[in-house]
Amino acid sequence: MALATPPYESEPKNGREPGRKRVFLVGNPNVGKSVLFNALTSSYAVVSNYPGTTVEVSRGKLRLDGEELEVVDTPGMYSLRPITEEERVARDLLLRDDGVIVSVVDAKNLPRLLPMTLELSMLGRPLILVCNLMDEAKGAGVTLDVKALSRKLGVPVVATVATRGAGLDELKKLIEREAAVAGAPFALPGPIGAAVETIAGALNGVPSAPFLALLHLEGDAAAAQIAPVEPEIIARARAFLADARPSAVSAEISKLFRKRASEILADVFVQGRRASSRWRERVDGMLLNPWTGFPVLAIVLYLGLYEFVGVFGGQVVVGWLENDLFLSHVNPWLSALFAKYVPWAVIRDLFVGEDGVLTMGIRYAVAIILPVVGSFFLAFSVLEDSGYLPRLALMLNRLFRVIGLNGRAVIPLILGFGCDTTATMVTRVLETTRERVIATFLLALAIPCSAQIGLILGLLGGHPAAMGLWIFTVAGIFLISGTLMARFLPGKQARFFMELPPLRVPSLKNVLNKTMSRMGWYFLEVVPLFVLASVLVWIGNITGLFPKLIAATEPVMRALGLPGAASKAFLFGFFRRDYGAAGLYELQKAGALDGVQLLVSAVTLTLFLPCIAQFLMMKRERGWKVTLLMSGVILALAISVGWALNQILLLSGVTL
Amino acid sequence: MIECALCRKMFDPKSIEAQGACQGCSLIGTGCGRVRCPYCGYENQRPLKDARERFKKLWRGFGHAAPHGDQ
Repeated sequence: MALATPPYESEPKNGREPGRKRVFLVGNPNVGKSVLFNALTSSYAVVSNYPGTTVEVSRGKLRLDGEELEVVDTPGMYSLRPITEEERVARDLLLRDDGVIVSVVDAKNLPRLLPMTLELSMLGRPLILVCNLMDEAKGAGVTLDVKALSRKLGVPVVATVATRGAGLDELKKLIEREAAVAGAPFALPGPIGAAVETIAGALNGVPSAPFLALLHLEGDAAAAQIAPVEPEIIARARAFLADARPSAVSAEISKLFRKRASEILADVFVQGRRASSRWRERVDGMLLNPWTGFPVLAIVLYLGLYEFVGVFGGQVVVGWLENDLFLSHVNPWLSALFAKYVPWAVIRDLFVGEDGVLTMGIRYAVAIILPVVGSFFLAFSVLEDSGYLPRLALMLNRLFRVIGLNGRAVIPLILGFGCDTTATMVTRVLETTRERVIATFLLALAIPCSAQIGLILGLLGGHPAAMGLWIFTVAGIFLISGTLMARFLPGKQARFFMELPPLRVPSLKNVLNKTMSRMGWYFLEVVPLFVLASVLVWIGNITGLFPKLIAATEPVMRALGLPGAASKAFLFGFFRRDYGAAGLYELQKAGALDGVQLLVSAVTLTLFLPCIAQFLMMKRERGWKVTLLMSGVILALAISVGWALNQILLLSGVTL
Repeated sequence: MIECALCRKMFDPKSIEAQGACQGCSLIGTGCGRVRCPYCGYENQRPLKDARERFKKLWRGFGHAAPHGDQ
């Protein structure tokens, strides 16, 4: 990955600025670094942007035994191999200086955070580990043998509670002493270790050589700028590795750091088995095991989506808003108002006609879509906040491998349930082109976005058999298409690993905040588009174009066993998926669709062409040829599946 | 800073990396209100206060649709 390096204030010598002693506080966000910074500096601090970036860096002064040191609070980072600009800035600050590094970790999460301390040890700088938030660790049942940890790690370790000042005196003494002593770098084992040694050997005794060698192996452009190495040496180093792709190297290095951290922490860090830990472990086990995980998923889908979104949101709330509010009061009032004050029929038609901006556009947005999407967002936020989604990704990993993807694809596919357009772009997280093509196709074909899914749930709520058949048909098409693509598309499949954040009881505040944010943004996005849709329909009606287009597609509707009026919903659906679903909703309420027609229209609309926004994103990500080919296949498939489903249901005499 | 809903890592939605994830999206400037986590790629919802700021800008008649995280 090519990284831009910020401008240096002076020319770096082997990556470091000489002179003034500094103390760098390094660690993840939310470990108490800033509290520690304030406690150490306790007076005047300067906050400034790192040159050429928007990242703020705080600097303060620490007086120790007559000497003044500068304390730098580096931006929060999760790894020395950066992904964000904040992490790049933090790493560049460390590479430029000889200062003491204070690695601050949250003591109760030491197993997760110690790997970064091992990375820091490879910089060859004086290093101190601060296990902060010891009070919380104790409360969580953690026992930490600080002396044993220090012995096994080879660096001084101090336990602190920065908010109370506990441990700070000891830390200051260590800083004073450690200013002259460099820590021992962690040596990576195996082929990676051999590769690192090969490159480090060429860096002529530079103290950060092992770490810079790691960066070279990962193809980091910063390493090439700070400490260039001959390409032949890099090639010789990579020859040690079975898979020299930067992403594979990075994954392997992370694994080695985690393994070493586990070895160090054995018998040193003991997590007491409290009732809440046991509970979490049991639930984790259930969610990750497919034998229990799939039934749990089925329950989540039934209760969360079908009952809450489909029945409560889609029927109860929509029924009240649409019938009792809009159709009974708001629309008649608006029509009367316009009849009284607006003499021009064509303008009245624009605003309060059958497809009027106010009588249809706003009504769709407020009475139909908002409650359904709102309840979907609420249910989704609960799942998010609990930590369930990454476990779902892990559980589905094996299944996804059958369709040529891996658990990592859960990210764009889950995103697709939010917005397929963004999800299509997020297929970039998948490592190979093959996976990206498969994921893009499946997103366009069989993953309904949140707008659409909420409405379809509302449409089918109260028809459990139809709902079950809808899920079965769409999931079946998803799996069959994916399997066929996996079989016939050339290319390798990438591995998947993911760090699981802890499970937690969803916080009501977080859930409500996320839901309100999503609903607020959604409303801002949807209302203008629905108004625009109404205006376009009005223009289409005036010019006679829209009725012609509807008439042209009616034969297709009849072939699907649907009334001609359904063609409007499908045409709307290309513009905006939820608009199309809302059109079907109207037909259902008017009694124009029976159970079988409801199912056929829901399945066909789900599998239908992507909306315009997603279409454009596909074109951007995959190019015109692939996009048009995919769209053609999708359209044909959607109509074929709808037709076949209708025939099967009619021939079998099933009523829903 | 916001917490990613999937991986729980913290990131700044206004940072260049998060903005970079939105570059090239056909929804940019339309106010979709999402921002991608630079660590795991998961889309997160921007805080609602950003929606209010965006609405104010639109109301004031800024013609150019600025990218997400506009300063």
